[in-house]
Amino acid sequence: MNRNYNFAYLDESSKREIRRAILNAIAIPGFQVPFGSRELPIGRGWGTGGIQITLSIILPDDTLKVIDQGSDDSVNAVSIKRFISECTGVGMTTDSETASVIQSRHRIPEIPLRSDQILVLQVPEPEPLKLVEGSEVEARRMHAEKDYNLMWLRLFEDLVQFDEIVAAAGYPVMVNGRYLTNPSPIPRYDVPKLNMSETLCLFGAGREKKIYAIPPYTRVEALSFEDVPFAVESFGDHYCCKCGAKGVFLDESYNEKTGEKYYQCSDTGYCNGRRAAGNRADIVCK
Amino acid sequence: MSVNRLTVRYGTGCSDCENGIGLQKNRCPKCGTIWALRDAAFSLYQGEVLGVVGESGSGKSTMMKCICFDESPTLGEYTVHTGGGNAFQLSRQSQKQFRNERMGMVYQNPMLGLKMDYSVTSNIAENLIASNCKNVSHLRARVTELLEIVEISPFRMKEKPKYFSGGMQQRVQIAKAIANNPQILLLDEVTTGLDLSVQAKVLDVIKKIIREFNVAVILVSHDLAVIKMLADRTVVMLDGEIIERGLTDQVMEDPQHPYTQQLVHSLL
Ligand SMILES: Nc1ncnc2c1ncn2[C@@H]1O[C@H](COP(=O)(O)OP(=O)(O)O)[C@@H](O)[C@H]1O
Ligand SMILES: [Mg+2]
Ligand SMILES: [Zn+2]
Repeated sequence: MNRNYNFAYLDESSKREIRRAILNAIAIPGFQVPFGSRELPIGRGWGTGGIQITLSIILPDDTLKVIDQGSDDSVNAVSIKRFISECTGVGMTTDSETASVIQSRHRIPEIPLRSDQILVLQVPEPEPLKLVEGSEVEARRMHAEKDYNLMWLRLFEDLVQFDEIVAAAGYPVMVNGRYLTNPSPIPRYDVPKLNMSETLCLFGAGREKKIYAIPPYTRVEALSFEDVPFAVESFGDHYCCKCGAKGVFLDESYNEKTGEKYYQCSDTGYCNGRRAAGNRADIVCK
Repeated sequence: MSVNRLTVRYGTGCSDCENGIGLQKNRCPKCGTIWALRDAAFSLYQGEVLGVVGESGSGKSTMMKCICFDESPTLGEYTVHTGGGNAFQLSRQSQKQFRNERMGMVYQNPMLGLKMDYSVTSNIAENLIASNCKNVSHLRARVTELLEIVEISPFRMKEKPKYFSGGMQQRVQIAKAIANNPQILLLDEVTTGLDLSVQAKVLDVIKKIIREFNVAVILVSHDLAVIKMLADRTVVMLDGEIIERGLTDQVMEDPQHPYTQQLVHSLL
């Protein structure tokens, strides 16, 4: 651990200020709380919103897991882990069960999280209305008046044009029946996990300087029409070519030479755990 | 519904113009304030068509925008039903809700009334969705009905109005405006700028709606022929003020104000 920094890099008053924003966010589920985003030795757009939340809440005896699109060892996840490890000295893990804080981008782990864990999600664009309203002032007015008709119209237009709602990652959700919220670019598959979740979920957008939260046991509903139910991605009969898992979120890859498709768990920590327990697929990843 | 003392001014006003002294048309030369609408009052019953006629700049659109809550007046009372309070004092949310559920507005400029990048279907369904219909098959069925009323082929449901002719755009606006079976329908210069043959088709659609729906209609036009054809009663506007009112036939046959006399004569 590098002692040239304060514990967790940020000075105590910065951390306190960010924690205050987090508390405000928890008090108003789904509402985007502005905060004074700090400079970090990592470029904006590389998860600095999530990192600042993690740095502000992490304690010396925490265990951290960092994932990027499900993977524990992508360049982004590794560099965030190295940075937080250097400035905190906390233990790192790839196991979702042992982690007390999980920082993630684009995925929520496969195994259900618990009330003694905190999930921190990195958010590139916090404003769900950005899709339908370019002006930030107007979007704020729409939130204040709970006027989400434009978003409904956008979804309806998808149904008119394509017979399905196109939004895949970052599907708009109503939090606690009040605020329309961007769940961050997680796949639809992960959206139901946010509903009545035991875990505190914190969302940080560094570039846009916003923090929002979904506290434990909060209603989270994907916007959907009565007769067109919200549907998550389905992978049919496919299963992971490494651990054989079925019914989980799978990444699709192509063998560049043969053009063949194969699937494997998007959550690599989950997949490794299954393999360590002896699970194997009856096919091989090509 | 009824409207009283409806006044819209752009500018601060001064001791002269506030008392109606020295105005040149609707503008005060002393302080530069524009009195777009001044002390306008009228009432309207279900099933009745009120014509509003007057030259360009006389305050017709301003009046429409106030009634559909697009614009807040400087002053005025707006009673929607007997015993109701002043609708101008409702919260923005209540005003919007009332407008989405109980009013339809057709704008002179279709760009204001339609989302040009959304399909005809979405445009027509907009107020239905906003008044809480979240059932896609109901929405589609209602849009199909409405397209039939305004005589647009169901094959064009997915198309965007930006590729439509002016007359078609106005018919899409009309379908959108009547989607919720509104209590009040506002038509602002619906046929202005359209070719005569196209005008005739739009007017036919409006006639059909007036005949079949028990709706209070305010029909704005600077074309007396249109007013004569459709309006039960008529008000004449000049420089932001209502200068003459009466049964349409009476206004046409026996105009009192010199301006109206001149208008009626030019029609003959
Ligand atoms: N935002 C505004 N600021 C200043 N003047 C305006 C504004 N909007 C309208 N006006 C003026 O108000 C008057 C009435 O306009 P309008 O209601 O559009 O007339 P009409 O529809 O009868 O042609 C005009 O003199 C117009 O220039
Ligand atoms: Mg006008
Ligand atoms: Zn696997």
